[in-house]
Amino acid sequence: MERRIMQNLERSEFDEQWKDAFAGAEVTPSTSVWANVDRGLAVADNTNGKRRIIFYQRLAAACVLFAVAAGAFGIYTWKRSESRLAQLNHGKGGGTNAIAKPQPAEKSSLAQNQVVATGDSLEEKRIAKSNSEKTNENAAQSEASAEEKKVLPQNLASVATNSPTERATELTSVEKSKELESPSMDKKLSLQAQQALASSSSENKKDKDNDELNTNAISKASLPVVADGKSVLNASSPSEIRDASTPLKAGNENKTTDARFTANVQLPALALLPTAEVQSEPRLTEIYRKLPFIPAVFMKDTKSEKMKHEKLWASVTAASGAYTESTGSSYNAYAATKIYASGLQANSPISNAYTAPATGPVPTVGRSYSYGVIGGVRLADRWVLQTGVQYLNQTMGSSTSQYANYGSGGLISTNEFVSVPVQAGYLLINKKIGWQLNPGVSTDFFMRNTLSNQQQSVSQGAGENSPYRTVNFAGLMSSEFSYKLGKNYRLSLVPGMRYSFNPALKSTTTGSAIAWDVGFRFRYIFR
Amino acid sequence: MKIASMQSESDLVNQCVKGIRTAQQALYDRYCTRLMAVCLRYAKSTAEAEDILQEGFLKIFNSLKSFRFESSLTTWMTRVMINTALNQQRQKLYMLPMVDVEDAGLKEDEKISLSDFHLSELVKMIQSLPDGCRMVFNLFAIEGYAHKEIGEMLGISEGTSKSQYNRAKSLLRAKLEHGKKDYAKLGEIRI
Repeated sequence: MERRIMQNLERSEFDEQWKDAFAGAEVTPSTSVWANVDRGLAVADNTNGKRRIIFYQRLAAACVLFAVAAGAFGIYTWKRSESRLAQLNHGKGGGTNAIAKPQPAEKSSLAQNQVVATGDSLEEKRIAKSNSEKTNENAAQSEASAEEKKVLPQNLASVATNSPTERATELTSVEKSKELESPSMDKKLSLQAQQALASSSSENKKDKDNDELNTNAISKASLPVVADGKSVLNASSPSEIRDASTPLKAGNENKTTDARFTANVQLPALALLPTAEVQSEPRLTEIYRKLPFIPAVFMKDTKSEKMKHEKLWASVTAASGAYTESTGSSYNAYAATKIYASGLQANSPISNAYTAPATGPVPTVGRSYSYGVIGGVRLADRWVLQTGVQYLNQTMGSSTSQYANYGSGGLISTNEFVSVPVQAGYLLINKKIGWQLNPGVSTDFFMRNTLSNQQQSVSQGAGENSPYRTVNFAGLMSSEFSYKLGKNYRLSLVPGMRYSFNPALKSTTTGSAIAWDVGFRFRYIFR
Repeated sequence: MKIASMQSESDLVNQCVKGIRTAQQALYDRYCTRLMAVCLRYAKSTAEAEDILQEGFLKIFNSLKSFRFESSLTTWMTRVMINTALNQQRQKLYMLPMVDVEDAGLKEDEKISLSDFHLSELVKMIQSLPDGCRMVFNLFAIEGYAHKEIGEMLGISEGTSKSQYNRAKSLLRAKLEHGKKDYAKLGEIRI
């Protein structure tokens, strides 16, 4: 209050005169000011729309990028593991395959071949040759122990999954059981095996690295064991076994177990295990480490069997988003107006728009929505095919200032299509939570275009005289994230994009529309 | 358009907030002349005034949703225009900072009536003032702000605002005196 009083005291009559002179003063600005304001408002609206479309674009692009990256990683890992397995199976002269299906009568010769195939030195071959002379005598016993072999894979399979210590224990028990079950054994071969072990052991004692020497001894000593068809395992008494394995156990007890494991790992049940690496590097930890890495999501499991029941389904779908058209002559609202507005009633708002500036209106961000039904069928384990019928609506507006004669409210152009999409889906995740990529194409049948403002609207359908193409094509790319509800339903979130291969207008050959949208699908699975 | 001009102020504001272009144009048509007169006082030329008007209206439309009808719409819009004008002039003021200036020395008791002058002449007189003087004179003499408030608005001291105002007043008195003599000369010739 005091300030106001002071202020009034400061103010002189001169100031009051000036204030009175400008009180209620009015000056008319030029007409260009509103045009500029209108343009500025249109740009601001456009900017807001662009922010919205940028959000959709980034969301969809991020989904697609993530899907592609994950898919590439999965394929890379799958190929890598496949080549790894192929190398392990075929890289060593097919030895594993040769023994994969042994016949009782051929067991001794197979074992011999295995020795030659896997042997690293002439000494091994010599031992194998000498053993081969004995194999005929052992044929009968080999047949007798064929039944025992059937038991062994199971035991060894369990050994392979246990720790080395446990395996040693289990193998010892296996030997003991063999000892009890087959008291008759080939002592000669056993002795020969002991000699081989002893000789190799004595030679190896000269070296400094006991572990390495023992490992070599094990691998060499294991060869006659294989050739004999478990002659060592069938030793007459536990003491003999202990004697035979004493030099080995002196170095490393676990490696003794590994040697026997190596000898038997070539059985069918364990054909995929990297036997060659076990022989050269007999540590079980190494085996595990060198197994090909496969992410859990790509491994087959019992759950995927359940998912295979999803062979045929039908779904309802709805999507909404934003789309942009390329500028210039291909802009639908402007070009359509130029083409068929002249045939309308004179001086109508739409026909007045015909006198719009030659440069065409500033395109704004349009909106797009679609809904329809989609059916799908599983073609392969991870491949599906989806198709259906959809209604597609694309609406684009323009600012008022570009259509000065048109009146206020702006011009809105709406294109309507019946769309038939065909998409091939690849299932990246095929579980309760699903994730698939859906590239495809769409055939869009033009229904009508509607130009409208707040007062009036006019439509143009398809046909020979229509400025619009009846059949249009578009490329589709979407990523479908789904969740299975119960046994028969699946709900999906589908961000994606649609790229028109051709403009809707016949008169234009260049320019196209890109739409980014996010949709939902509700799938019913037929069982 | 006539329907739009008959709308109440609050309806017009609400429609403008919704982004209806016809309402925005109606609001512009209703207030543009009054606000143009304001802009002319703060600008150096008509073109500059139109720039201020354009930018001011864009600000008005963008921030109209924050208008709470606590003051009259005219007052609020005038304040937005003044702020826009000050923002445009602030760069000039930064380049040529306002300092205390000596009074021109015209006698206060010399009474001059502005009623002898046309509005456009008065506008030209104000536009011919230096930037700092013009701002301070407009804010103090016509808008009714105190020197302390002007100092805060322009980032100058209260004393600087006073000296700028006195300088502006002296210059205007001189121009008015000069204008009066010119009129007298014209009258003599005509006679």
